[in-house]
Amino acid sequence: MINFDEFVLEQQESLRRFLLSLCEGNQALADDLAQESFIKAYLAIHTFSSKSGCKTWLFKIAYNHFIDYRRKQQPSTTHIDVANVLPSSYTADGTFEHENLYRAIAHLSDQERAVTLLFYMEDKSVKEIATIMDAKEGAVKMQLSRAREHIRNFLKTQDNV
Amino acid sequence: MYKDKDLEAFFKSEKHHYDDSKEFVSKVQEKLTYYHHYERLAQQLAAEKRHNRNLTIGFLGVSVVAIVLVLTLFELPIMQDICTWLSTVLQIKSIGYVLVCSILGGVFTLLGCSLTRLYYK
Repeated sequence: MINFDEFVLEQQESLRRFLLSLCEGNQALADDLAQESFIKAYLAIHTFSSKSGCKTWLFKIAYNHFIDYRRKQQPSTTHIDVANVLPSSYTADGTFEHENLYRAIAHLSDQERAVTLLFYMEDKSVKEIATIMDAKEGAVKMQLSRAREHIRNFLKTQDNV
Repeated sequence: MYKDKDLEAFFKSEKHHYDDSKEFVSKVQEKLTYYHHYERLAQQLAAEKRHNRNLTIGFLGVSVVAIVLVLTLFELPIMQDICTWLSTVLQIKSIGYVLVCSILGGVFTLLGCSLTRLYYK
């Protein structure tokens, strides 16, 4: 039996980071969603099967919770703060260097951004991402390549400007 | 030109780290405590609902029994004696069956309801 507090302590950073990027840098919202995800996980602990890892299971709960939240939300007309999409402790130079990449990631769809973040930032395998997003591995690969293409195209257009 | 490696390096370098992990854990604990509190309240509410339902059924049952009892009393010869006795006590010329039966019915119902309430307490 795992100690729940230890589990929260171990997993919170990556989960919060993932949700923070999905929530377009809204830290309060991301933390709320992360806390609620942990509570959901606690309440559904009996449904956990060791087939998928504990971390993957938690990410799946968090991702579904995020999707539910997004569905309930009115279509947003507010401008996305590009610099907040991926929060970091970057320097002024760093911001300049990655500014276009930030913009490109901000323009991805929720699904594409989730796939990209899970793959590159959280080092999840395609199989794990498929479990988290309740999709087929082929679909995940497709979304990942589409996300790369969108980033590439966006950066190309930015270079031409 | 952008390469896949650049994206990998970008994400690695931009990994955000938190220094408020303990506060986060205590917030989760706090929310869980609230949840347990609400869960207990919900259980109490459900138990109260069940209790009230039982009480209603009990009251209805007792009322039906009281009505049956009163209707049976109508047929008994003792009712005539009770009415005569009551007329003497209350110094009224005559007291109707219906009034006596209503009083008795009310007394039975009250008694039954009190017993039901005591039983389900």
